[in-house]
Amino acid sequence: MSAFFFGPPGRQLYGYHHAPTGHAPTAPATGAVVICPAWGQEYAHSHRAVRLLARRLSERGAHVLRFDYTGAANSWGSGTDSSIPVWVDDTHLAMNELKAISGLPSVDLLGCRVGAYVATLACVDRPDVRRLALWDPVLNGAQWVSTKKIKAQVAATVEFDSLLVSTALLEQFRAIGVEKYGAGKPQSVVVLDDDQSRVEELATALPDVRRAFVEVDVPTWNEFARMPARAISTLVDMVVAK
Amino acid sequence: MSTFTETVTVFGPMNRLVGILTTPALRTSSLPAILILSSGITDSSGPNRTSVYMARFLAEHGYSVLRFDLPGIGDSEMLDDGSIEEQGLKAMRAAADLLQGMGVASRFVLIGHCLGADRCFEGAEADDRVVGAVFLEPPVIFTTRRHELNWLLHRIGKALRKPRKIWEVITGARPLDVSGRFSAEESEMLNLPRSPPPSTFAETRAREARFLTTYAQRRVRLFYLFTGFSNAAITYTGQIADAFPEIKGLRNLLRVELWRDWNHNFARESWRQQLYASVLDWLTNEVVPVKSGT
Repeated sequence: MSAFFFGPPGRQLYGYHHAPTGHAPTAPATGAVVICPAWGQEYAHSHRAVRLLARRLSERGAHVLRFDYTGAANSWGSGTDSSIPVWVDDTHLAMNELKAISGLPSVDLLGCRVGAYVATLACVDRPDVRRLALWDPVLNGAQWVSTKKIKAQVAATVEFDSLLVSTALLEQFRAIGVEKYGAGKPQSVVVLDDDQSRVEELATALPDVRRAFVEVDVPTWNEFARMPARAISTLVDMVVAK
Repeated sequence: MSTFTETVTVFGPMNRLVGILTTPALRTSSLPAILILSSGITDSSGPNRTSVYMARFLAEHGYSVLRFDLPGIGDSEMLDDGSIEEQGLKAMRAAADLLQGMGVASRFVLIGHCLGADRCFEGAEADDRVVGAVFLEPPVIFTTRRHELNWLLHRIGKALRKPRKIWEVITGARPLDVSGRFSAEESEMLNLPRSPPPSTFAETRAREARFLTTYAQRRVRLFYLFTGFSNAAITYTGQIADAFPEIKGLRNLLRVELWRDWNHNFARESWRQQLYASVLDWLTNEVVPVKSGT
């Protein structure tokens, strides 16, 4: 059990560390994986699945750190403190934290939905990112935003997906585009998606991407549901593969 | 400068439970501490982060608040092989023990939403340190004659606003449905708050009555809040007291608020702000004065 806050005083981020299990105590860890979660309702709906994903990775010998972004879930701040650049900084803090915990020189980043975009940006100028894994990445921000409810806009804030956020964050969401996934240059990239065409679209931005298409066994992001067991096991295999 | 501090708290049997303790900068020792339970299968941040902001809001008004994941939910592990009800009770007791051991408080108020409200119902009965409980959208509500009449009138009024449907009923194209039961659309919502089915009604009512009797004897203050999600199950604020007329003094312990425009997960910021204000008002005016004998 390892739940804790990390980050500078006054800007505490909630983290949960899954220590490696399932292999000999003296064996070196197989890797260190920081998970950038989804956001909003997608975060809530996928929490159990991501927790299981982290556990499965740890059972394969990896250190895993799940964390919450600024203004989200258990971390400091409100929705209006949230922005994608801040979340990228948060991810850097999480990477540093996990490197310190694990003693390993590099990390893998695994991003879910909007978190896939955050993880991609967090790779920029970070040669210590070994591998980037993207799970159902949001490739078209404007389209993604259009699927959510937007209510009462007051001053520079707006209710988006039932959460009060800055209009700036909403615009940052809208600006997400497939071409921006080429920003980071990790040693390898894997992507798991339930939409074959999106995977192929992503391949144009990331030509060397190793990709998998997994038919949806159960919904992961849009409702509380059973575990997406097939997606999780596929993703684990992809992330821990040499 | 922040008026509260948040601390990750790992506690309970074998440290299997996870919560966030929100403490005010200036703590008032006479106030009860607040325990906010996780809601359904949502983690302790609550639906739309409601529990996070509620904890911070109450801490700004002097209350220490521990919001935590029930066993098997969020980041808390299952405690044992017991039922979720038994494990929930153990978790609530462990949370109260933790705060009492830290010298934070010896009296507690439970807050639960949806299934979390159901757990609160059991927790408030089992631990006599609990002096108040907030039930946000509890899943079981008992019907009364007055409620059935209200609901029937509501359905008739709704039908009258749709003359085409009335014509269809007159011509036999549509069956008459003013029975007071849920509409087909509502029935599809499996989690709709409702009175227990006839097969378990007597047993469930007896359980509820036992709990409410205990609360009345201990003078535990109760705050029920319902949204439009519960429209078909509760139509007036006196319904809970009316459903249990045999429990003396119950009515005086109850506050019931109906917010018809809200949805189950408090999806609007203005609703959430009102929710926090309502809970604080209830604490200030109905729970805290009890200790001083008012």
